[in-house]
Amino acid sequence: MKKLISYATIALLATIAVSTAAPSQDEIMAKENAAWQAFKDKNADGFKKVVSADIVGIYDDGIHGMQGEIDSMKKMDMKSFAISDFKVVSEGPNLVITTYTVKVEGTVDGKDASGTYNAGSVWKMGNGKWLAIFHTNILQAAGASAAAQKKE
Amino acid sequence: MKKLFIFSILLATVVASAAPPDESEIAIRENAVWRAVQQKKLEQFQQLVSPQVRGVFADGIMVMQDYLKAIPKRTIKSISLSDFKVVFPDSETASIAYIAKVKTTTASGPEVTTTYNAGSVWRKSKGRWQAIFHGEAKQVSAKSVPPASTPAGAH
Repeated sequence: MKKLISYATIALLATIAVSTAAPSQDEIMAKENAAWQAFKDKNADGFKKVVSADIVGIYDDGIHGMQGEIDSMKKMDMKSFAISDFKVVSEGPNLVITTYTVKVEGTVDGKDASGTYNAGSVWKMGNGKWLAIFHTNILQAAGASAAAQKKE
Repeated sequence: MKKLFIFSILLATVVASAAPPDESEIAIRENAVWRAVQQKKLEQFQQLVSPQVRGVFADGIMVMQDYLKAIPKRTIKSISLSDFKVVFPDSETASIAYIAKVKTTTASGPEVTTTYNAGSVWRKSKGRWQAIFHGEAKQVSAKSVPPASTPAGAH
């Protein structure tokens, strides 16, 4: 009986440890990809599954909350996106920062918005789920691609 | 009487530390980071900003080492931050967004004023707020005289 309690305690502690551990790079990259895919597919419900209602987005055309993100989603026709140079850093057990470059092909209100963007997000664990709370993507300045792929 | 006084002080301390975070406190800290950049006060910058900070700019993605190299090279004449919006995803995390008007001088002399949409994420750790992420995008409607010779990312 004593052993059983010990095993149960170990199992409980292991569960707590796993649920509070920082996510792997692959896990958080899958979330980042899911947000982009939902945006590309104009899937607002899917987007809201991985992005917090409190999202803050910083872009050259404005500062967006969730409604701004959804409005942008409607305006953009994204043909493709490709994430590269993906890096993750943890800030405690429930917060991670991602940075990467993303090559986008598409239009906004019919105007070409294709290009390579420097991007980053902050993800926060809450109620057992990782949600993006902050995001930015900024069109790379001409000749800045090498700088964007800096050693870290 | 003495005991009551001590108890009151203790209670006030506990209430203050448990009080919900203050939007203006985050805005003041954000301003302080920009001042540290403008005044090239690297130690002050490092007190306000996490060693793990990441900054996303048109010119690149910066880590602390990049900031420490870039700050001394940039001459900022004036900074004006406005339209602050602060969100607290929890009591130890804050997202702040605002407009930054930054007047800089380039190596060749002319002054350039650029308007950025900017934002940061702040994290409270061991009782201290530090910026962990920053992004700033030059407003599409804003006009400035290119090129800025040093990285656009002031902060």
